[in-house]
Amino acid sequence: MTTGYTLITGAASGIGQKIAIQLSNDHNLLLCDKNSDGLKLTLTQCLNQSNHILWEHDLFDVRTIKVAIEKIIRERQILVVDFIHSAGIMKVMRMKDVDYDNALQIFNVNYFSAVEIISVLLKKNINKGSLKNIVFISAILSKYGAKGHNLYSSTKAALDGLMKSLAVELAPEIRVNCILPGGVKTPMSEFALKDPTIVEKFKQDYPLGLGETSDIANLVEFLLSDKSRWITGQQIIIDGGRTANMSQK
Amino acid sequence: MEAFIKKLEGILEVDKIEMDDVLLDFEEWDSLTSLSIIATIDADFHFSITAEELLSAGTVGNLIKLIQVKSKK
Repeated sequence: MTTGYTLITGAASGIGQKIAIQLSNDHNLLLCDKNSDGLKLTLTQCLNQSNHILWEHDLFDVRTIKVAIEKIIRERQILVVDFIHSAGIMKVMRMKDVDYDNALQIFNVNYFSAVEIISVLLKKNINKGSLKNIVFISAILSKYGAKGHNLYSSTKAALDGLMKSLAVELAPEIRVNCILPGGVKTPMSEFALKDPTIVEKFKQDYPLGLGETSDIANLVEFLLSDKSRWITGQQIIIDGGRTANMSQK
Repeated sequence: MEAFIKKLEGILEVDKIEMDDVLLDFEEWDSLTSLSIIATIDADFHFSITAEELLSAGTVGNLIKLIQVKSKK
């Protein structure tokens, strides 16, 4: 017998880890990350641990993703019902230092990996038309700019664009949405939060203060539930008021 | 390492860097430049260094040593 699973990429840390922990009560999870120790750590914090499957894969290796995910689905006899793409790397650099190699690295992890995974999950001979929900963890930087975030913003905008078209292409069977978080306390933002001037700036910029990973996980839970059955094709900003704030600094 | 040094020359916008050149003395040096160097190290060597590690390296030569030490780990 096959069982429905929720695939979460980037599940070893930050937002992806929190989503996994929070969904573990009433979802079977397929947790993907390149960091196997981190994945195990996530699993120890999950409920119903024996129900979940760990998939160690570096999403930078885009060309091996299709074979790997197909193998897991067939061998473990599972079906993927929800796909949450939370894996992402950030690169901050001046535009004049960008080259194809570092652009490809960030695009492979943040964007192309999702493309490869979804194309497998849509194949009837593999996933039996089971996919019902896709959620991309995008960023407010897909809509707004910041110095040095040229590549990161581009990857997230690419996810938003993919989401819009898939929402139309895959309706009514599958709903597809993007969550656009503002600053959330995660290992990715940790380096910036060590700098007191940045922390002070965040305080001014975020009317509700910085976010917690659980704020994002709560929205994911809502988007996977029937309570959001009429929501698809949306860039949903969740940023403590950051993008609404036009106050003079 | 030669390829990385070439990239470093590109980032710092000089034709040739010397091992005892002080990072902070480059005309192009600022916080965003240092982030470019960190991102390039990450892409080329697959590990991260912090902004503090980069700053405390001081010279080009020490930065190269730091990368060599971290590469062996």
